[in-house]
Amino acid sequence: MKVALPFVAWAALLTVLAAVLWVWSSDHVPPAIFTAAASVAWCVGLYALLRPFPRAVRRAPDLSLASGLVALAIAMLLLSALVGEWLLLIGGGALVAGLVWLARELRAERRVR
Amino acid sequence: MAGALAIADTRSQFTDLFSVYQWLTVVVAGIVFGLVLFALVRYRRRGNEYPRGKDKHTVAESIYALVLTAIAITLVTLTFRTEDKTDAVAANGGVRVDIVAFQWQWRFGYPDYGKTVLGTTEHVPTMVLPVGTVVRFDGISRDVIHSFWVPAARFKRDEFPKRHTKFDLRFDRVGTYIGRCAEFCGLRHTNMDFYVRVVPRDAFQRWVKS
Amino acid sequence: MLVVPRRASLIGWVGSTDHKRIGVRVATYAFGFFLLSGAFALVMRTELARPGLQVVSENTYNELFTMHGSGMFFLVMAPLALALGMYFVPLQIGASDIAWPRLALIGDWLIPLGGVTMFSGFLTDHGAAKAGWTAFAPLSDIDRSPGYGMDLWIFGGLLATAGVLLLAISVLTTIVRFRAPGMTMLRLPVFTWSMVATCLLVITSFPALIVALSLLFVDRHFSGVYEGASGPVLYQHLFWFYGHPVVYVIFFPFIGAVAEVVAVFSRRRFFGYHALVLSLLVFAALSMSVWAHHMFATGRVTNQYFALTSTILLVPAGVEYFDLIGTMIGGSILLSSAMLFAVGFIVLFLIGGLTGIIVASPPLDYHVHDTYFVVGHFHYTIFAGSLFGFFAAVYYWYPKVTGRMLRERLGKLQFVLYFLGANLTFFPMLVSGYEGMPRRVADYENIHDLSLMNMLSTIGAFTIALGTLVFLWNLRVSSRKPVPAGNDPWQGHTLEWWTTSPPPPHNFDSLPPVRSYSPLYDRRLGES
Repeated sequence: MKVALPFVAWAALLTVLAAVLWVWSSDHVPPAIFTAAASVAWCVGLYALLRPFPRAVRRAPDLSLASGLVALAIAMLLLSALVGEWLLLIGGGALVAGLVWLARELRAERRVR
Repeated sequence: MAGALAIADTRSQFTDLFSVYQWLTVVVAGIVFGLVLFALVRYRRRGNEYPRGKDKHTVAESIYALVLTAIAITLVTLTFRTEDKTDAVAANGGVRVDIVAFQWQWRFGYPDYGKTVLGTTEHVPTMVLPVGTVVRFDGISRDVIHSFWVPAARFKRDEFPKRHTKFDLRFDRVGTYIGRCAEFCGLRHTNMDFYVRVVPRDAFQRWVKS
Repeated sequence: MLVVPRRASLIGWVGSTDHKRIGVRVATYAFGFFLLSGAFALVMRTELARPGLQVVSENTYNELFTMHGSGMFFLVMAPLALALGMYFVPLQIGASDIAWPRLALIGDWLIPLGGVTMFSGFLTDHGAAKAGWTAFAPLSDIDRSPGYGMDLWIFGGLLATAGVLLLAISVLTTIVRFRAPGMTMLRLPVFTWSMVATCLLVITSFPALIVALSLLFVDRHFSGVYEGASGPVLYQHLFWFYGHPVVYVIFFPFIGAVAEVVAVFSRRRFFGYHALVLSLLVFAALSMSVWAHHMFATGRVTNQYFALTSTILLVPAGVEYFDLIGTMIGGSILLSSAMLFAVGFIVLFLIGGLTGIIVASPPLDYHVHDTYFVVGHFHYTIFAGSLFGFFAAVYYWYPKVTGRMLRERLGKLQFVLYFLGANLTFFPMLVSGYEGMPRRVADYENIHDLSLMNMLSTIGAFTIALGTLVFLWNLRVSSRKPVPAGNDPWQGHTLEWWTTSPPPPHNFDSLPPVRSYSPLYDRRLGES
């Protein structure tokens, strides 16, 4: 609870500020954006509330080339919108390969523990 | 706020408010710079001792925060008062001027007189206005966002496409002032200037009829 | 920074999930982008040294200021802010690791990929993006900004922003879940608290930019999202909802680092810890509510609300100054390079802050908005403030990261050049803006001393460049003839100084008891 307190308080503060803007602003767009952000803050507060304790000792992976591949795949997928379909295929393939590789890494890690 | 007389000369409104902020800025900067300098000189490390002192002073800090809040509220109050005057729009009267901004020129229209001034690359457009008279501006852009800025009037307002922007200004001194586009609007934004020539009322009447 | 640990294989360097490697990697390429974007500023200052067009065309000039601003925000300052957090938060809270290391690693690589994407616009037919780092619609639409440069800018911005967002999620989760025994929330070091505020801002505000830029791409290629009468204002709301909090994202970590430096080099526990924590959280919340003060001159927002929230920011900011100066007064101050940069931060950021109060007032902003006054204002905050804070952090933490000392005399020389250069560059901008010089112009007329003011700014900019060369020289000297740092060269207060320099992969072999926000200081007082 103590861990979550600053996050919950922060979300509440955003909510109050957004509420004041709802009253003050004749345009609904700005308070709507603000309210959306406040709800993200509530999610953070909720996470802190529900997962307050450190996980048991864990072994961190030393190396994850799969993560790099996923990042590269995301960039390729975006750029394919400009460059053409061939990059979409390569990027899509790289993303699938990267995710499978990530899953294998995670499984291997779990087995070690 | 409505009557035509309430429309303020934006320059003097700006100057009055700015002088308050400027004064505050100088005083606060002086205090903080002085304190930092004092600390650096007075508390320079001399021996190898660890200083013992309080880690906090909640009462002093709370009082200080209250003083800051009071300053902020004062500033905001002054700002709101000034803004009521600079943003005021007259109920009636005055000269009407239509502004059309486009990449990268201005067109000024006087709907009451059927007169138009159009800027070209060779010719910087000049908006002629009568002195001491409320001018009702109605601005729009034909393409991207521009901003109508007269530095001497200490005022600017953005011009949007597909939407009219209305504001009132009053110029209390005769003279010629430079105006610029303040919102970056593409390749030749640098050159999107205009002039505002403020003339006596009878001279204005002669000009619109010429 | 800029130092690849010996014995590290290339694969280890590229794919390591060690938070220290991630932090150093992000800082290194962010610094590379800093040199590139800074070079752009030098070209611009050369062009503006005299009235008339001498060095570059208007078209090139527009590309330069667009990429300077975009580079500094997306690829330099925000990544540097998170790089500091990534490296030092786990060390300060006694954690061996970060939460979601793979997510952080993906974020780490998205940032340079975004940078390369953004700058590759220079290689396309129409050149790089040239709609300003704000890329307001409809100037950024397909008709007014044709070509791939604008699209590459959008994708670069999306990738880099998403990358920083992932780093922030990882750092914040680490703080929530991985604290050492005894490290309660109210024992978190000041820098870690500043990262709490930073990460909260990133997580709640960066999605707005991702939405804004994605819609901009849709607007350009599919349907005119921002085409209607209210479209341009919608874009500005989304953009500034990111664009204002981001300036606090690149402020909080550096004031946090400055607070650590001031406390350590004053040999005092940081003064007014609880007030600072409270003020950081209030500051962060308020800073989410001020974005439309960038839009006062549109006449289309609730000016009063945003003027109120923007002005009230002076209260938490003032509390932070009270605590910083309160730490120094009564201390035992050693003016090392780190401390000099920290004091420089305190003094120069104040000018940025005070001019910020001025632009928070709509009737004053009507005049100075979009002028060099604003340019001077935010360079005082971001360059003379945050970047000075960053260099305070570099001189303070470099020994911990590399195990070697930087040269103090070169550090002081850099500080002098930076301090003079920053004032010479940015103070005349306040004057020229007030006198009527709009921002984002390649040329100006010589009225009201504008020529003199611009010449001063140009001289200042090159002084800063010289200071940067001194820093690079310092890095070189320090790695050629290493001076070992030891675990704790400054007699630090926080846990990162407990472990070796550089720290082992698992960070700590043992931990001292944590009973306050400055556990090593407690021990030292107990011993003495």
